[in-house]
Amino acid sequence: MSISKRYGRRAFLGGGAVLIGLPFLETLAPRQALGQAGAAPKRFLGYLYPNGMLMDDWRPTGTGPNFVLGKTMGPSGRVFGDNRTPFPASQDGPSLELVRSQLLIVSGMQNTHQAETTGDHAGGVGAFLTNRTVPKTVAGNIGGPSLDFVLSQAIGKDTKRPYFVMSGEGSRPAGSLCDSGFGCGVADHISFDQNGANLPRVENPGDMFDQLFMGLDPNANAQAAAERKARDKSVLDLVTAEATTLEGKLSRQDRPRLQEYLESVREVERRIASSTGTGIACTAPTRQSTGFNFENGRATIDICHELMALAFQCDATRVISFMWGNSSNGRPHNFIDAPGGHHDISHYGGNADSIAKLRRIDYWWARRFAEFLIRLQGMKDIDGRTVLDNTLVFQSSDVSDGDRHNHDDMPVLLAGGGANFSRGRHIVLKDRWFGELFLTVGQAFGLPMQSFGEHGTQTISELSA
Amino acid sequence: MVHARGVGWTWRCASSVALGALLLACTSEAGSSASPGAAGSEAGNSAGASSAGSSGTGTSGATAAVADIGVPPVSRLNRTQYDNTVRDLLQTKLHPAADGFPADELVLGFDTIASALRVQPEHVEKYLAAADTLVSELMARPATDPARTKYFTCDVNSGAACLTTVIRNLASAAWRRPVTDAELAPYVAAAQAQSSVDAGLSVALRAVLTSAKFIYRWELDSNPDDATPHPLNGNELATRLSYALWGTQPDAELRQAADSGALATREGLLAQARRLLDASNGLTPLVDTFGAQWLNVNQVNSVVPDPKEYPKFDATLRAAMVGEAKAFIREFLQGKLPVSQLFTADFSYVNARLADHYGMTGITGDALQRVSTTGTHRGGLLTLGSYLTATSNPNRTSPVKRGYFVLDRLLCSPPPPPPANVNLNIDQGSGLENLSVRDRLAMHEKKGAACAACHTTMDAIGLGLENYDGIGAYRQADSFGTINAAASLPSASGNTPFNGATELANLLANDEHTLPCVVQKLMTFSLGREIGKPQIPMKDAIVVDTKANGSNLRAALEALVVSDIFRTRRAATASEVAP
Repeated sequence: MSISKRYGRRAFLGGGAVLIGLPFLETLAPRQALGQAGAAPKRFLGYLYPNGMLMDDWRPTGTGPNFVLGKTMGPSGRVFGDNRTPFPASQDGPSLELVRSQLLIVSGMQNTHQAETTGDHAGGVGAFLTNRTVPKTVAGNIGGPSLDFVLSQAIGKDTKRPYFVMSGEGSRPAGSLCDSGFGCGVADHISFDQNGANLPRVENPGDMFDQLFMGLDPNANAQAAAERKARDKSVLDLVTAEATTLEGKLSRQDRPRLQEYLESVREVERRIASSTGTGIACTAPTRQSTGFNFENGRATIDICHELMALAFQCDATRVISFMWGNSSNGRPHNFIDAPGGHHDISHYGGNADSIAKLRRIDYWWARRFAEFLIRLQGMKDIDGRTVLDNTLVFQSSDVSDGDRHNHDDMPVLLAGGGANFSRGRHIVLKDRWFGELFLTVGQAFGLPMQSFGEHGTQTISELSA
Repeated sequence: MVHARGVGWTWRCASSVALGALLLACTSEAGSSASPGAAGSEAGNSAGASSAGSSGTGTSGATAAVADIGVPPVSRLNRTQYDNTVRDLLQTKLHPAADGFPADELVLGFDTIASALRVQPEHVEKYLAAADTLVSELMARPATDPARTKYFTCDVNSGAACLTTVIRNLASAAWRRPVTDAELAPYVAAAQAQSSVDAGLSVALRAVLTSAKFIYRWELDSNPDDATPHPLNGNELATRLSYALWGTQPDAELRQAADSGALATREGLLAQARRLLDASNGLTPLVDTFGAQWLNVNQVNSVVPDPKEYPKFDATLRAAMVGEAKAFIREFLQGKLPVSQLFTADFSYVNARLADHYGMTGITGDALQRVSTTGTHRGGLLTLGSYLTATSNPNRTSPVKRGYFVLDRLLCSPPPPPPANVNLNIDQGSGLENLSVRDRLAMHEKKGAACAACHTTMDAIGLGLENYDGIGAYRQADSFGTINAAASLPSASGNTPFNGATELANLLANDEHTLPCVVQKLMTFSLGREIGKPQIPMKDAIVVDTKANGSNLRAALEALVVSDIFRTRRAATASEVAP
């Protein structure tokens, strides 16, 4: 039995287990190196934690390099003293202190305020990487691209997945409206293409694996994979060629739709052609085919984090957007004795019991997030540095305080060296816009960007100071 | 009605032609570019969500609208339609779309709006994978399996002629029309280029199901640059009809009617429409798609009532509420009842669990059964559990949402968003939490016309339903004391007072806006586009036809499918296509 099979089975069948990175296998050596040693790709991750934060626990004290992390991100072994069962040691984890030098924590920023009747969650999600106001009736089209898509067009084109849009929670039932009449197209999406159309999310581990790593699957029969690829290519060539029989017959209103179809076909052809693994030396994970099971505690989020880390290291993609959950989701954190839907609890309204649960939920997630950053920090990149050194992680939420639904005083955390921001600091950027941050990020990634979203007209010099 | 145009939001109450009618519409426009719903819709339809008051008949000062069928856009199959189509095409039990196609967006309340049905690379990947699975299943079927012999009508090893025949058989079924030799040629060539007959067929048949000709429902104009309306050809019309009523490809009989020219006559078309609607389970697709989306039935599946406040709410109750609403809608689609009875119906469908929730006695079992609601505080749409629950906040009722739903879904007169910089929090931290919900809402009046113009109506409707809690159970009191469900609605004769759900329902049942609104929703759903001002005369004609035939949903469906806007199409002019 191969090493991968042994570890894979254990990694996925064990309750609450994590994916375990395999020792480097010679057979997985990159077939073609990506540029020369020393030239590592720049990467971006937009990471949404839903339903806001308990801001008093989140906020660091002190600014500049001498900040002290708040209780959410701070020391492990936190004692809650809340008359609930003790926080299980198996659900505890490291402090973000361990990657302190990679953090740039930003207080005080604001994102677009929701213009519609209600729906601050949906508005905050749609605006998360766009800094745009979310229209209710035009659900699914937000009027412009998200930061991850814009970056992907510049830095992602050499990879199998120029952008990768994933979620740790499935979509809501078809035909639902999400949050006060907003279509789920905006309420459940943070990534939008150049036309402002939402990009579909990948929502289960099997799909994530297939789309990111199929070409690297050590267990796949090489011949079968090659045959499938050749067949796919034949089919796509054929539907491209035969579409010309339609072209001359279409009326004005329909021509752009055929163009859209053909462009999408071409992009899929490109992805298939590049799926042989243009990657950096890396270790593909084992395919996990079952869906997420939130009740298992950390299993779901650990899989997402590990797939993201490996996707970056393997250079399967350079741009990821990730929603850890849907905004306003009702997932119960029973495994840390915080039962009840997350969103309901976030409307704590002065209720001590809800606040106690929310403290646990935020803290629990921050442990997993710290583990993820530590993992990126421990991964060697092609230039001898670490993957985190070459990645910018932007992490925030759809609202600031879950009870107040405000879009100012947002909890923003930047991590990693992808944009060369000056890290190891906590800074306060009172009422600066997400769009300004995104403009600054775009320029740091070398894009000739002049503005971003509705408010990104000037860059934020404090990020580099 | 005339919309006031100007800088910023301006509100006007709709004038109405009916004597004594309610004046429920609160409309606004903030310049045409900000019109809700305009973006993303086809050019030429940018009038925004047309309101019930804009029926155009009899209103003085309105610019007479020129009847125009508008620009019909090509539509790709949505997820439901894809799965239905491959089910009927291949007799498969697989449902690839439900298993993982990207979700379709709800626009204007429906998932059939063509402009929102995009094709991105992620869709093509799924089409490719689904075609692989479906064709593998087809080819693996026994040689005598009818699902296979339908297409494999000859010995595929006998040469190119049979290869062509098999590909033609599937393509003409999948593309919903006859296929030309020129279209087939590249398929046959691609098949022959493969190493074996099976490999060749596999590539060709997969391509048939990945082709734009399968994924989209194309309608062609003989001259693509001529914007003169013309009738759809038989296959195009059969396709429109079948997807509108059944959400799937035309069946054999409909294809035959298309080929024979029978659909070209009003009678022939109507006969086929009636056949589809009268078939066993013939209304189920409309109930599950149009009905459920129109009345937002599935929303109850994604709301999460606060368990502290509503400990009895669970998945069983949710499911019963969805079932009740669908059974209720089905009865109206059958056409036995006029649309006005949506509000005043004296029946509903409950099982033991739901009956207990509603305080009804004597109902046993899990199956929904039709019951009289006389004397039960129930009856009509406004007392459906799904509506009352889906329009509530997790821990309390929201009269505003309940009122908004009625204006938006039943009167087609959705109020505009509140002005900027309005604090919408009336709960914890607002300073209002010690007031009853009624007193909190009274703040809308105190804030002046900017709030009151719309909230007067929205809040009144919601307050009339305050006897139903956040999960639709009847109550006499809430934590602030005895419920006061009295309110009044603006009407032509001043204010019309009412008390409670029954009186409210009777008032709304007399409102003239409901039937035109239902027709507009049906048109939006089945045509897959926004019904703009130039299409209003066509809507009005369908309303007239519907009224002449019982003012029910069945009559509206029949009037719609034989209308010009359904039977014809035209190309867009250059100025109608967004740059």
